[in-house]
Amino acid sequence: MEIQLSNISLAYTGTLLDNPTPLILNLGKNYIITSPSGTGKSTLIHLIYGLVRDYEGDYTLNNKETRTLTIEEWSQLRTSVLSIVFQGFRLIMESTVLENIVLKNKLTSHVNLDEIEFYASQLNIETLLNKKVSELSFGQQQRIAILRSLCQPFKWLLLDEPFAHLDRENMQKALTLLTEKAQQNGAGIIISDTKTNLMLSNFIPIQLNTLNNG
Amino acid sequence: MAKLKIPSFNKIVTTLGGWVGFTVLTVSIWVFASAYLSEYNNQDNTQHNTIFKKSSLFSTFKQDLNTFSETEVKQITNELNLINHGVFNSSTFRVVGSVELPRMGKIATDLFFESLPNELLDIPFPKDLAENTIPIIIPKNYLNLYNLGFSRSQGLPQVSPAIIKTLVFNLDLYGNNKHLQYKGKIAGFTTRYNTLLIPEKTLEILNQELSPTKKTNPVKIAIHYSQNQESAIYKTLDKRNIEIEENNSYFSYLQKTGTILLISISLLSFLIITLSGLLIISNMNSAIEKESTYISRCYEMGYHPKQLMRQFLRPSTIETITIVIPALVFSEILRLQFLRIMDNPWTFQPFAIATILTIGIGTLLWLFQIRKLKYELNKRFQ
Repeated sequence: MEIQLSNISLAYTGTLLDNPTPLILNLGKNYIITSPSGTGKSTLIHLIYGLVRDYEGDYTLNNKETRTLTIEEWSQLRTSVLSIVFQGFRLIMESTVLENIVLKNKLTSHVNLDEIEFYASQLNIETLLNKKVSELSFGQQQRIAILRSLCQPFKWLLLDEPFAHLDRENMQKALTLLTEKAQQNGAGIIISDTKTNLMLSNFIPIQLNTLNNG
Repeated sequence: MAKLKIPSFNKIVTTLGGWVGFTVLTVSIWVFASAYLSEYNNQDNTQHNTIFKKSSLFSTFKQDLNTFSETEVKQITNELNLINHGVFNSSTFRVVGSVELPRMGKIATDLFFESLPNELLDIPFPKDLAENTIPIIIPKNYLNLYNLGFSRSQGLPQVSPAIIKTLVFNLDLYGNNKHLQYKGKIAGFTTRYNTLLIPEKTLEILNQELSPTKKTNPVKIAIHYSQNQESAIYKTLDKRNIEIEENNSYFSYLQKTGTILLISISLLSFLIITLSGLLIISNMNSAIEKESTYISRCYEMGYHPKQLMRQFLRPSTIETITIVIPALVFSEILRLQFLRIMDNPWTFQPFAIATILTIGIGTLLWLFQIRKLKYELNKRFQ
């Protein structure tokens, strides 16, 4: 289930990857996109997740050209291969934490309530499950988004600035949980991060073309 | 889980409109199907009528001008391309009918009989009557006239056709210096002719007995023709200064007006249903619009349009069912009310057809909602 990317550019961000030889991302390995803000890190993550489709260049997943995938096929990938934590969390604000988690888990019934509670306790949010998301802080919402990303089978975990609102202790806990789960699944992680590079020294860096202005 | 809320006012308007539309449509289809099945069952697309010469100042003084000679009858009937015809023979003697009623004494009145060949009658004469009893067919209008007019004005009880048929009255016949006494009995009620009819043979014998020397030409001809010949017949008769009895042409006019009215009502019900359907779709669209963030979040999570469609289709499916089922119940209530005042032999079959068609139209409306919903959701995910 390797990912190959080459010569990726978009009309509104410019060139993201300027590489005639494909960048190959292998399963079981962890990658970090470390360019400065505004250089297209989120765009690349969204592109891999299939939300950005108006790009030039080649993106293949498991040797399949993704441009030809249908909406149904992308939905299938998003429930079994690709899991994501969005930079802006993208939670349903008027629902409770548990409702958000259950809505995701309903797609595959990947985890049970005990597991949800266990992950929540690992992330220090076990007391928030019945609270409305809109009542929570950014840091709490970020941990809910992390928890939600674990409620499905995956081969690739896409994390877009996943620790931006977390303190060092919670960041460490979240990172440990995510890497453990990825290892258990034999999955790879792609993370965009501008803050925590000290803790991610074992991640393979991906350098975006920094000449564009995002 | 997000709940898709449709404003109550929209829901009420949609439901009321849907009820009216589907009820009217079901009743219209039922009436159409009923009329069609009656027609189909009869296998008879023909019309019976009576023609006579138009009255003029001269005919008032010279009565022969109103009658048809044998040659005239032949010419006219040939020209009209008829299925059948027959001249009205009339009684040429005096007839007095009388009846003894409890508390009212004896009521007597002068009567006038006519006869026609049996094949032109809509009611058969009974054959098992006593020898001195004359069966009489009377126009249905007479009974209505009595029940709806005379009986009310005189404070008399209304009578049903069944009661009238049991009544035996006296007939006193005078002519040729003779007085014959018979009993009279109503054999049935005709909707074709506005006259008192007795068997042709009986009238012939009585005329011979009571006025052997009096010979008269007929003033009326009964005609039986195919309905598609109607306009041609009207033109020919008009040219020949011959009138067609108002009664039947009035019914024909009523029939046409009724059909036009029914078509108009059906079209109106279609319009109401269309508007109601559009309102359901508009409600669905506004729900989609309102929940666009929810839809996007679900899509990003991995839900595909079909899974989301199920959630959005649920309220509009419930709405469609809430409209169609009560509308069928309303139309059944109307049907039962209708059957109380109308004698219709086709009771269940047309209603079953109407029900199936209404459910079919409701299903089409629902399928259209699915298509529209699919389009709206796909549009957001492209």
